[in-house]
Amino acid sequence: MIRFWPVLLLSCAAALLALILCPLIGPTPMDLSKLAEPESLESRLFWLARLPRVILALLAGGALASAGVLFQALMRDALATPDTLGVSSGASLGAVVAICFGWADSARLGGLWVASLLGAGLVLLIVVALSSSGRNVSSFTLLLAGITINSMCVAVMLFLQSVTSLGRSLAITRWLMGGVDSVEYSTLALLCLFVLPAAVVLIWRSKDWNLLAVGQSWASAKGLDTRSSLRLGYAVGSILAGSVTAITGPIGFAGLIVPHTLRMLIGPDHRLLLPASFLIGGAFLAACDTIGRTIFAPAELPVGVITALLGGPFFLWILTSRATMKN
Amino acid sequence: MLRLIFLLLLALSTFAQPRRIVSTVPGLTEILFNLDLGDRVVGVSEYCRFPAAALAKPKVGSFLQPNIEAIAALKPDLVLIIKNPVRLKQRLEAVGLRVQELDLETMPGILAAIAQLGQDTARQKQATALRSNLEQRLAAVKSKVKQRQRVTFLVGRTPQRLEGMVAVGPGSYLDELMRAAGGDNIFADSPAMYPKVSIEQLLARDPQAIFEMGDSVHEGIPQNRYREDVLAVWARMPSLRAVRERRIFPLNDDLYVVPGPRFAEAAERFFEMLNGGPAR
Repeated sequence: MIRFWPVLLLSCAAALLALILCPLIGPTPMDLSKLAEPESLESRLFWLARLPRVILALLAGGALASAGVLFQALMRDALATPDTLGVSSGASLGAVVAICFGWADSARLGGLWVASLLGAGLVLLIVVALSSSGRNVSSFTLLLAGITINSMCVAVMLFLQSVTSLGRSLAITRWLMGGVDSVEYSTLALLCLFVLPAAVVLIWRSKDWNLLAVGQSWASAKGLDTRSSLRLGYAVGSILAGSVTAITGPIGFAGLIVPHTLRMLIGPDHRLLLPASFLIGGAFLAACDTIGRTIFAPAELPVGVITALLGGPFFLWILTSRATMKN
Repeated sequence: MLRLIFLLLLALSTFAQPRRIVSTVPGLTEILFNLDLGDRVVGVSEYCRFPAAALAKPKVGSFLQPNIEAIAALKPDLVLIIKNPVRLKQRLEAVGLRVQELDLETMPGILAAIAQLGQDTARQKQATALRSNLEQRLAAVKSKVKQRQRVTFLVGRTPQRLEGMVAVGPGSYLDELMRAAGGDNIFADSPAMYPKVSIEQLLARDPQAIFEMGDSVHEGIPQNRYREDVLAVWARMPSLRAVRERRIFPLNDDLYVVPGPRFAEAAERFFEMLNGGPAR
């Protein structure tokens, strides 16, 4: 706990730096002196294209990383991510259904958004029902249930994609590629409504996650109502992952790299780990997206490509180093 | 004697002509109908919708995933496929079918495919006529171009949003068509043939006209509603010159995305739109 404030300040600085620097970097050079002129190309690029995109990356990366930290603690499994419970697949399935049945066609309804939030919510209900049913459900069972929900969602998506029209099937493919894009500010406001309160609750209950990360019986012995804490944890984590996925589509590995790197650097105390993951996770995704939209300009790489290319080897490294530790 | 041999050869060649043709590609189906071979077509792909007569033919899957069993059951003596990376020719030949693999990705490729099909089906005369008609119409469009304009063609977009956009890049069929009609693709320097782009690129390159097929989910809805929906989405970005000057062209016709013998018509329509005509 000695380094609490320095680490937190450093994380804040990283997120702030990403917020200021990333919008200035891109395929079109930015002349800073023209930024204040409202009609200049620079100010349009900054306000309409880059700033909303960087804010979305900060929110999405922060939400996915902190949800990753949380799920890893609740399930006591280093490989748990926001996708593990199937919430992201639920959100994806909702979006695919919306595209398939034309709920996304009308100009005035955010059908896609509503449907993917409903999808995430439905999976969340299943998870909460499982974790609060009379029996004592282990995190291992939840993990297996999550994998099963994932497979079922993927199966339904593949089914819908194969029976729908070519145009809709292409739209589904594009959506499933996932990625951060220049969204409207109203979308960002809506996302904030979900992400910020959830993140606050998460950080506020850090002590509970610390106890649960050691073990449920330990936590009960310390006087924690483990069942309600677990339920709250799964609900909040799912809200974070689901609301982000509804906007960005699936983004792989963001919930894995940042939590593990930080755990190694600053230790497993959630009072510090959670806020740091939220801030650094956001900065990381914003940086990845800046790379993705710049290196092959005018073509862009989905941010998932960058995070997965960094995250894939990292994942393998965790696996092998865990194996050597056991030996 | 000579006359007899000639007659014999003629009879033989008629005999060798394919009578039952399966086409797995919309563009090739169009060529067959253009060469008056419609009645010999016994099977088409799910995406063959033009001409209307093609809709009534038995379906044999899509051009990359044709149902080989369904094709064999039709007992065709010629199967037409598009150049592909999935070894389709070998797989169809393995079940004893005669296969012709053709390339429709470029306009010269389409012209060559017409000639080849004309030869395969003893319709050389019609094939030559069709080719010269297309070449003349394309040349006519090219000669009319006075001023070149910077344009983009969007083939993908998140429904109702200016996000997740996919544009036409260099080396593609549409790039070639727009260039012939006087449009210079703003994404001609893209490393990808169909690059994913964002509003940043559109703002920075500010095209003079935007051809819009991004809302590909709008299949089968009336053109005027489609147009209204697409224009409403773009109206949110008045910083774009094409929006201010009302030069967004919502297109909802597979004419533009089916490489085939209607390419001259597509080029003519591009030219009309770039020179004051409505989206069509």
